[in-house]
Amino acid sequence: MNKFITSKFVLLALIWTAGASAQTGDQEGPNTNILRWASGTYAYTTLSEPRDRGWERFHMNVYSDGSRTMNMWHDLSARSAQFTVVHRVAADFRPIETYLSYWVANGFKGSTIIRVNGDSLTASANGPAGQHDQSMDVPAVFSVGTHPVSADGWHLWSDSGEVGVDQTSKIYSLEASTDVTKPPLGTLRDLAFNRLGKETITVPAGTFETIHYDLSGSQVWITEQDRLMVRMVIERFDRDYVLTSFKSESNEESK
Amino acid sequence: MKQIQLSHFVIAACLTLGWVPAHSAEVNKNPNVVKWTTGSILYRTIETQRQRALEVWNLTVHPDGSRTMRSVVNNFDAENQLNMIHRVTADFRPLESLVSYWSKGSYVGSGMFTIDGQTLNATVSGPDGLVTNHVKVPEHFSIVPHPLATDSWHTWYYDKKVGGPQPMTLYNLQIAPKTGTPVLGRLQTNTMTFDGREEVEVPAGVFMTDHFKIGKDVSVWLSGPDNMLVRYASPKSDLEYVLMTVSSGDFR
Repeated sequence: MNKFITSKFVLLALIWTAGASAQTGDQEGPNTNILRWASGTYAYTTLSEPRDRGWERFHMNVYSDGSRTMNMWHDLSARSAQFTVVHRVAADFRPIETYLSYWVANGFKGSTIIRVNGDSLTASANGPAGQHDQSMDVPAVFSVGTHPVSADGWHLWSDSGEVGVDQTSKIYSLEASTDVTKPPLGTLRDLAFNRLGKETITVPAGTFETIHYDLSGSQVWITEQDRLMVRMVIERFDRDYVLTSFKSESNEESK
Repeated sequence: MKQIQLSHFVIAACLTLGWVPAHSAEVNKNPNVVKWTTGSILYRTIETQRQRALEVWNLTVHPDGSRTMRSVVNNFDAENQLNMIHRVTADFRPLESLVSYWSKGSYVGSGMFTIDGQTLNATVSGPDGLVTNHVKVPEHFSIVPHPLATDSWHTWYYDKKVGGPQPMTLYNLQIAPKTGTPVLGRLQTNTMTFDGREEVEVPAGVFMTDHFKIGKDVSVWLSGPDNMLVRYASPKSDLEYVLMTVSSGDFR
């Protein structure tokens, strides 16, 4: 009886929240600053069982100058981690500014602001390890790897479009270990990828036209226009990241 | 129809009391997350109820009691768009804020504000480059990043035992692009007064709230251990901000 009542309550709660969501959406009304927006949720699971490992949500705005801001936050319960990231890129996906705050298994690791000005990257991290500043030269083509998966398709922005050809880029990858004495600052590394072609895939969020890549041994499927992650599979680590809900809206037609 | 409305009321009442289905607690195993809550705030005029904007927020309470609030605002009436990450201690004193503003089709800028004891360190970045600033702040103060979700956190140091009008200090960020250095804030003072406990009905449900008056015009109603904003009203400006939706628990 109690189980029935609880189930009924959860069902009612779901109906209620779904109704509320449909009533408001994520955004309402065209805004001259926003060309289009998208939001969604990913499930993190193991590939083999599949076992639940966590989830991630994102909200992306594309602005009138073509630049994008990705707000993303995850709950990686399998690693006792919780990351919050705001990542801004130019119209061609080159990084402009990134904020992140990391909670790891040993507690708060710190937060970092990263800014890119031409060929110079500066980063300032604050946390249990104190304040640490970093500056380095960065190449014309590079990306910032913050670990949530929503913007991982943005590492591939230099893709030449050729199928089956090994390509390389650079990634400024953030330190995200459980060691809270190491500040969340990055190192510049090579990133290898290969475009495998266009594919239509179906995930819990729906059916998407995607581009399939091999990204340093991971299989990723991303949308073409905004390079949003639809699915990522890392077989060697038994990992699966899949889009489970998705909403988007374009204001471009009304302009 | 009546049954559905009653269900809404029951659920809203449970949320108000901080009741979350046991299912949610079982699923969320992350020791760094005590609670997830998400909601939305509708901006509208008081007189005609004309919708002006929608803000979607997401709150995490961490094991040390600190909170991280994320907020995205689409203000289609004022033609601006705001992003915010705001972190506070367990007692709601600011730790850090990140904001970025767009207005009327142009990028205004972004700001990162970190608090180190009695010093607020600001770095703001916009079309005119990077500006840094350091401001002495008192123990009791708050930041106004302009999304509404954290505007119920300004009263965290109000002493209810003393009651009456009490001073408040606000570091108010500059949202308008033509007011000197955009985004960079300035310290302002005001008064806040606790006006009692009130039951407030908004689209998200019925909530038992603390009602504070700020200055002569503004009222804010906040609820629960996270000082969640339920309603914010400025009759003089004919503006109100009401909690549209709220849900707690896991978000798979």
